[in-house]
Amino acid sequence: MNIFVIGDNDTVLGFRLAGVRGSVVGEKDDAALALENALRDASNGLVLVTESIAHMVRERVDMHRASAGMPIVLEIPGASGPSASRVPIGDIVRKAVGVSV
Amino acid sequence: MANRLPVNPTRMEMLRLRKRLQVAVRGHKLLKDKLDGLMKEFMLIAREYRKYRLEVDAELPRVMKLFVLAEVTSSRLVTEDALESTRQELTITRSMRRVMSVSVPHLDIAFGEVQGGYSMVHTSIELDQAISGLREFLPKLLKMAELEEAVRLLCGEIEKTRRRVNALEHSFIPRMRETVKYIKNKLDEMERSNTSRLMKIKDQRLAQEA
Repeated sequence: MNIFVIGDNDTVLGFRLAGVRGSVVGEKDDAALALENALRDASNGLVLVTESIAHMVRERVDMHRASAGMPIVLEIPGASGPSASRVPIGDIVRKAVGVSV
Repeated sequence: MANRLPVNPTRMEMLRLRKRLQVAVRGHKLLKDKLDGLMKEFMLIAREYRKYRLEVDAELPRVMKLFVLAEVTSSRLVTEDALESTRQELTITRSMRRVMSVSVPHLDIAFGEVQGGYSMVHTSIELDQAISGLREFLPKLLKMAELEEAVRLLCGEIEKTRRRVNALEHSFIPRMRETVKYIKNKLDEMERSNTSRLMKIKDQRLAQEA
């Protein structure tokens, strides 16, 4: 299986060198389309999405994760570092466990 | 207080309920043990995940910056050209691991042959650094993806199990206990009234015969 990356120019370029295919995305519509294609492709085992892009298509990402389907979607910090709008995993943990870890 | 179940107060119903109550209590104990086990696993995985997340957050921008540097030191065209002419095969394999009866993915990465190359003369040393940096970094990223998925799946399972435990503990079991008690009271009451009726009839008979 492959890794697929969706992100800004720099990120995709970088990953491509390591053998990761990807698509460069700028607008929200592009992002939705690219994500949809990446999720539908059965040869993808892991889809990396930069946080800023994931933020544009938050709904689809969450929906995919809730269904626990393939492939795994992972948000990575973009070239500019971790974004502030990230939902910390601590929130999910606290909801399930009742205490923060 | 819990409501009792809508059943007829008969002896058979009581016996049936008692049996169900036994099963429920045993199930509750088992589920509670499962929840404890899940929690234990979950804590370990969550801590590890946090460690990886912090590392990835710190390292990825650094690696990406190397690429930007590479672009700056040689021209963008040269860099992109180098990227285009290099083909690195890379595959991941996915297997499943079971943690407390929850299937979590396990990812392995395999680098294939590097095909083609770029000119060492025209590209800068930063590009080489960037490439090797990213290659070292990828397994870490995969590990994190795996852990994040595991955290997500375990969270779901914990929530489900906890709901079950709570439903049994606070709703099912008390309700059944209450119903058994109610049927028992009712049956005793019926028996008492029956006895007193018999006594009364006996008295009347004796009075008639006399």
